[in-house]
Amino acid sequence: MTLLFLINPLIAFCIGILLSFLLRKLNARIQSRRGPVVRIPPAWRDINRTKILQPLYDILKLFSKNTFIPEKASPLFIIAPVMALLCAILASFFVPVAGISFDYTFGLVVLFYLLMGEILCVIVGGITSGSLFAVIGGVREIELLLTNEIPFILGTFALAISYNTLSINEMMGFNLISNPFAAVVVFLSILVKLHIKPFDISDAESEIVSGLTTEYSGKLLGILEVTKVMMIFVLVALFADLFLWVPSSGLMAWLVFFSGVGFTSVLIALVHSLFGRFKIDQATWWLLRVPLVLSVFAVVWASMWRYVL
Amino acid sequence: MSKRQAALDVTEIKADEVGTEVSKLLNQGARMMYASGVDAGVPGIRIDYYFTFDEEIPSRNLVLRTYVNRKRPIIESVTPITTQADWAEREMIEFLGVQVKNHPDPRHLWLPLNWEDMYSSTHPKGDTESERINTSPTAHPPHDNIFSKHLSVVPYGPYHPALIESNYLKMSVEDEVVRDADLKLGFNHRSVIKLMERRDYYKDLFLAERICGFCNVSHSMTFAQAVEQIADITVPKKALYTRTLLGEMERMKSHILAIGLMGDLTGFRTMLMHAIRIREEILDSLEIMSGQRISHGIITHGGIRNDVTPVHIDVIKSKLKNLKKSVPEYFDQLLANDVFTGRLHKTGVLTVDVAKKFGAVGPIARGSGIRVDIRKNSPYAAYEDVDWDVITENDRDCFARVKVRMREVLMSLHICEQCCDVIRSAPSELITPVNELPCGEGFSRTEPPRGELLYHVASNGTNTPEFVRLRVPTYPNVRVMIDLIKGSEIGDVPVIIGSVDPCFSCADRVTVVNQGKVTVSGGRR
Repeated sequence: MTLLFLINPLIAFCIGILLSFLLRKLNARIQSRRGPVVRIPPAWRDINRTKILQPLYDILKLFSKNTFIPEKASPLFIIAPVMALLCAILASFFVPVAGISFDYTFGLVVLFYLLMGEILCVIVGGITSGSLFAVIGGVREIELLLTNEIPFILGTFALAISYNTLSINEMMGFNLISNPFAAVVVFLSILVKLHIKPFDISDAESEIVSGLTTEYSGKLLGILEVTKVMMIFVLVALFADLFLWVPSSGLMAWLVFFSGVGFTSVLIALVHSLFGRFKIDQATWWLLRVPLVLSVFAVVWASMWRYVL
Repeated sequence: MSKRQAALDVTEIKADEVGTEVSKLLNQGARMMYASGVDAGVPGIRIDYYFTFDEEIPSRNLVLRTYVNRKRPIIESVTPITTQADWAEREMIEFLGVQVKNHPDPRHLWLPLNWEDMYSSTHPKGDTESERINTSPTAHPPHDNIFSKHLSVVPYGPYHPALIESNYLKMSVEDEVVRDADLKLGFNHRSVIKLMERRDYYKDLFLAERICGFCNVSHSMTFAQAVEQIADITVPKKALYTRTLLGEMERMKSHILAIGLMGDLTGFRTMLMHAIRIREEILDSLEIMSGQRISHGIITHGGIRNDVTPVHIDVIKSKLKNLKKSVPEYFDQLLANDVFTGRLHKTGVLTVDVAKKFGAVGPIARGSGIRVDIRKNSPYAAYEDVDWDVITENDRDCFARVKVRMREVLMSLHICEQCCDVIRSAPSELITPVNELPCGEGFSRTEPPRGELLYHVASNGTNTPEFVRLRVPTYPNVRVMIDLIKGSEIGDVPVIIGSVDPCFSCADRVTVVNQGKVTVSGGRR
């Protein structure tokens, strides 16, 4: 096994920046705004300087600012964002980028823990800040996590059943056709994990200022933003690998991979701008009603193909 | 030509008869609009209770007037009889020093909660003349009925994303359910009504416009109507129709933004952006008519200031044509979104009894099926001569209130088109000059986008008003809002606030015209 997968976090960060630019741009165009521009005409230089790397500049700005730590916060307030970033970096090792990844027999299970660990770290860090908004956001996040993990796990395990493996590299393929239920379920779970619009309940700015990250500022918030950017890439790439991958090699593999990633992120951007926000009880009820049923369907579908037919 | 609004009907009573008289009027079906005091000098502090009869069309306006001693200004509270007087009496306590006996909740609403401590704790008794505020930390925390409960308290404000304007909404929360809520105002208070007494009538018009950015036409129109009532003049036809056109444009602009903000508060920012895009056409046509986008300054005593020519009307009509296409399309998009409507259905249910008890006005009352609209109840401008109707919904929840606003926008478009046709062919007379202003009192009510606005102006023959009293629509509606928030969930609170569409600057009677240089401390250039 090569050590090529070590560049995965770097790719995750760089492409994650571009993906968040794409999200912003599409969101702005749907809202009939201009958004960050790709190329700035010289006449605009004094008016608008947002451009393609704007998400990166935002993060750099955060790293240049002072960090305020609340008096009542415990040391976990500082440790948790770093742990979350660590989880995201480790998770990026396990997600194949054009087939390059840390190929481990139980890779899928480890990935589950890492994705969950990232969310838990953010929750712990937020709650220890002592802010009420963070506590309410944390409670909401845990409720979402509890209802969302089951469909996510069942949806990915449906693929594991059809391919008889737990290694992500071996179950890659164009599974959108072979198991469409699993594809829908995993896509919905990714929306919840990324806090895309109907499910951004834990950081609803009009209700609880910015939820878990209310008290974070400066470099710690910058770390959380880097984590967010990497998580966008990790989850989008996971979806592209599991459902939109066509086995290929060399330059073709990168092309297939990035077209899958692009397609998924465009879908996510559309959902993000075309929906309002659920209330927490509506969201949990909807998650129990639709993705859970679909995920059971996906498992039944997969086992039927494998064991019956 | 439309009739002038009904003048004020004043009944003088003794101070100890207030309770019985008020309950007598309430039993006859009156609604208490406001209560306010004026320091009248020798006769004592004059206290007015404003009533209206909503069932009668045109409605009768009635004032119960009483005088209390200036040295010992004590009056019996009427809040135990009707909740509609609650905030008005709290305002009297704070701004006039009237001691309202037996008021159930006599805390400060506008002044800081520890106002008394600021003066009394360290200053010696005789040093009240220096009027210097004691800024040291107070000996005991200000009395607050919410913080003493053993629940977690969630503050909204003074600055919070759900409320664009500054106010302080405190909620004690138990597991996402709001058990108790209280509101603190006064972050924007600039005592506009006092400032109005020092400026002449023409400057007051501009000051009135600055009270609210959304309903500035209504504010200046109501003030002008009150003055026209004192001067006893008739406004030309073209001015009346232009005022109607301006008022309806303002209603559209406010309602579309309120609906868009409703989307933003439920996380649907796309709809806010589209609302702002659609609104541009209205702002453009307002700019064509008055020269300014937000504060128009076109209404004056006796008419309007600049002419609206047929060329203007042509441009406005083309804009209205665009709006007739884009506005229903926008509403359809919004109503087709299940996530958005799911948040609104069955939240913040305001029953008819509660709405009447707190004296709700405007779209909030009409969303509960109460047929109250000042444009119909006491017609002003040209509303009697155009074809329109009051819009009510019977579902009583936030969705009904939003639907009332949506249908009112469409109705306003209809009214605007009629006004445009009349203005094009109306005689060119714009203004009836006010030559002399006799002593007297003028009282006027209009219907801004948010509800009922009333102005009470008294003239003493000089070039400045004797006093001005005004009550904005947000004033009773926010009182209803607090009641709706109690018992709801945290996720519902922004939706309820959005459906009530409060304008706290109005309630504070703000004016901030800061032309000074903005200094940023700690920044580097």
